[in-house]
Amino acid sequence: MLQIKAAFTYRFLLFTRWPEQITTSRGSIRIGIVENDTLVRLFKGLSSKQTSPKRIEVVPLSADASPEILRSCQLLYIPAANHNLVTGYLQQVAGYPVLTISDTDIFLDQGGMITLFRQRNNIRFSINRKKATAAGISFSSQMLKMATHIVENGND
Amino acid sequence: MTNSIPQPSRFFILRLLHNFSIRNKLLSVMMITSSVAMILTGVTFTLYQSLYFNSRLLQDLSSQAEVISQNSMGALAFLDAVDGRDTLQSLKTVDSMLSATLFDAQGQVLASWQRDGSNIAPPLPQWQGVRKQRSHILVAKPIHKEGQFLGTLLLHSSSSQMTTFLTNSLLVMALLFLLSTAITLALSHYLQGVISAPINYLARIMEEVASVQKYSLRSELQSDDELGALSSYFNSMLSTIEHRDTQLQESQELLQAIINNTSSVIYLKDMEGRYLLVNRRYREVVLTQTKEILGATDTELFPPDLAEQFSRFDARVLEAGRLLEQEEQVPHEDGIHTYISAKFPLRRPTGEIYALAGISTDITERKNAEIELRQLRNYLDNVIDSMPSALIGVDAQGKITRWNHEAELLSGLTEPEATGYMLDTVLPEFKEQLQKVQRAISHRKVQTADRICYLKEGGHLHKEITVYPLVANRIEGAVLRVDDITERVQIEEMMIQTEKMMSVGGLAAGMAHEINNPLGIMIQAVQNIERRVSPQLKANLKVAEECHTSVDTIHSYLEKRMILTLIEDIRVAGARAAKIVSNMLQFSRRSESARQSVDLPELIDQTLELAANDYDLKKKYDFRHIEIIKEYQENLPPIQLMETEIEQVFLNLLKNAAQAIAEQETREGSPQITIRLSTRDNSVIIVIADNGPGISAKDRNRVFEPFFTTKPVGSGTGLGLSVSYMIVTNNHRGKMEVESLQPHGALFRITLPLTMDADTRKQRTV
Repeated sequence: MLQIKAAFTYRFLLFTRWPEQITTSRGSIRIGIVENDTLVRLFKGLSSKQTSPKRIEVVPLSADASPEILRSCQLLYIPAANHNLVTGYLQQVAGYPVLTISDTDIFLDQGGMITLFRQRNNIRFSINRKKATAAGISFSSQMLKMATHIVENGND
Repeated sequence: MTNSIPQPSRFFILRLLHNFSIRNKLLSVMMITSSVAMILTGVTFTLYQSLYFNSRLLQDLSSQAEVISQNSMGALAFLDAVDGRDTLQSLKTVDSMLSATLFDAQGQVLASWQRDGSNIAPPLPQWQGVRKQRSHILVAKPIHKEGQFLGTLLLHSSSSQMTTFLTNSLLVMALLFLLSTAITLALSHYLQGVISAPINYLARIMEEVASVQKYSLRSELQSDDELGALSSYFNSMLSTIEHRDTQLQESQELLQAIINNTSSVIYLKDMEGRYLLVNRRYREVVLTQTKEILGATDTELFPPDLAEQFSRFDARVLEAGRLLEQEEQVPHEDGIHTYISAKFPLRRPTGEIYALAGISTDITERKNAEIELRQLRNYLDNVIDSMPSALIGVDAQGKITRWNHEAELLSGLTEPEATGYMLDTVLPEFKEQLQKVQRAISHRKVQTADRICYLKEGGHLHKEITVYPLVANRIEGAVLRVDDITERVQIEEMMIQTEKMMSVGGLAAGMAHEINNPLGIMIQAVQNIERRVSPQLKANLKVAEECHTSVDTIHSYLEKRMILTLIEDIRVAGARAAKIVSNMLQFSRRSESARQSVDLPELIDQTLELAANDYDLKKKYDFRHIEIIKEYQENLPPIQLMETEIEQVFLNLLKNAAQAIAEQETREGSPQITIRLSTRDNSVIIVIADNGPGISAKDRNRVFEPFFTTKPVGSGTGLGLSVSYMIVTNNHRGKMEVESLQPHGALFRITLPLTMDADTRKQRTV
């Protein structure tokens, strides 16, 4: 399951648009993985296979990572095992163009942007578009179409 | 003259069209042309349409694939089968689409749609792009998003739409084709008349001209196009033909008239020998009222041998392939006639012989005339050749035109060798005669005898040449008659000589007789005077004593006064006179002495001895200094002659020779006298030659004349050679000749007959 989640996360990169200056100034996309070596390994494996012109940089994050590091990531994956850290992280990156992804049920309510969940044998996802738009992040319609639930303007 | 018309083409259609009428030809041409154009247009259009349709189909298909793949990217990325199926479902509005399938990145079927509703998804294709099968088109399109492979779209479309389109369009084409063909047929059927009607009109006129040879017909077609031109050419051709036809007829009539009115026999036979044409003369000659000549062969018309003769000649002409001439003998009622037949093959323009023409002319009269002429010529030739004179015909320039047998003997050249050459080339000695020839021709008068004399084979030849002008038939020329008159001249000369001798002889005899008596008295008187003054005589002494003187006194007186010398002179002169008289008598006297058999060499030796004793200082010749060369033929037969007379002749000649040698002032080599004896033709030839000064040509003619002498007065009588000549020619019936030798010297030749014939013997006794 973790593998599919990694793949989904990775494919989100394809359908997500960051504010222009972020991607052009850095030239690469930095993915921060919080306290999960398995995920780091999976991401590294995926990024080595990909042929996209975007360079993917996988950064393992410790529980006490500084807000600067958090804010330098374009994507922040917080596994369910560290759900206690979610609130703190979200607060640190609030207002920054960082796509936050987790696999807890309440992640969107906490202020996260995308949450992955299991539905029958498949992995599905929901999007808090309000948060993402606030952070300057937009998604492609194809991705939005795939989302099980989309939080628009916070009044769900 | 027959130029070939273009032959049918090797293309089948054109060959097929070749025998169509103009109308059908035009129709066919128009139909074929329009059909080909229609078919070409239709095929090209359909081809273009199908290509266009095909590319459109593919373009549609690829754009559909593009849209579907764009739309199914999310479904593929997040493996949403439902969404994928929804996207594929949108294809059901495309009629030709049969199925569509989405495969994820791992090759698993994510979503599939089939028009027939079945759920059997096709397998993942191992290829990319567009694949066309018989009635399907497959499109396999890999889907990428920002370089990341998301999956594959497989579209399966039917191409039956294309087939339907093509069928429909062909159907329309066929309908169009049928419609246009019908219209073309109708139009061309109506329009072809514009071309075919005048052509048919011309053809009808042509047909009429051809069938009835009515060349006066004319086409009335008038237009400015090629057919109008054709019509006018046709008319002018007809005029030309009409004109030629008339001319041909005229020339044929002319030819017929000539053929029928010629005196020659003219005929034409085919290759089998059957007569195709004969002229009127032929019918007159062959005279067969019963048989038809045309179509018959020689075998049916003539006797077998004659027919055989004709056909052999025919065969030769056909084999030679050109004109041949031959004389043919044909029996007629009045005997055999000779024809000269010229036969020649007649050829077609291709060179093939198809007939034999012959022209035979009766030349019997000419032939007979020729024979007569030849006989006459032979006769004349014989007459001319049998002439004893040489007859030489020359033309005005002096070229020899005739040359008879005698002329051949004269010159040693045969007639063919001499004819055509100038007279003076063949006979240089006749050079002067050319002027006479000119004179004879210009004056038309005979140029009388001219004698020429020349030396030939050791003797003189005398020829008499008379030139007769040829006046007949305006042919300028002359005939020279050359007679050999050598013998006549010799006889004449001899007669003159003899006559001279005889007259001199008669005179001399009379004179001698008259002089002999007083001379005898004178000589006797002188002898007496000498005797009577001689002291030896006793009678003289006695008479002297009676006269009181002595004989010695008288003698000495006479001696001192040279009287005795004078007397002796008288005696010597008297003796000489007596000798002359004696010679003269001998000259005139017919010798009665008998002939006897004499051995000539012996007689000559005897005479030489006698001559040697006749040495005379006063006459300055000395026989002992002269070399005598004797060339005697062996076994000389004895000869009947009067020895003393011949001896006298020899002595005379030897003395003359010795005197001549002695008189010679300058000398080359030793003095010689050659004596030669030989026999020839029943005669003996005696030659006495010296190497003295010789005798001049002028003197040579006169040496035998009496009293002719070259010696100083008193030393010769001038009778020696005359007497010798008389002895030889008159008494012995021989010949005596004199010649000059080169470089100097004289030669006397005496020819004496070995036997005296009856005639001379008789003459001698008269």
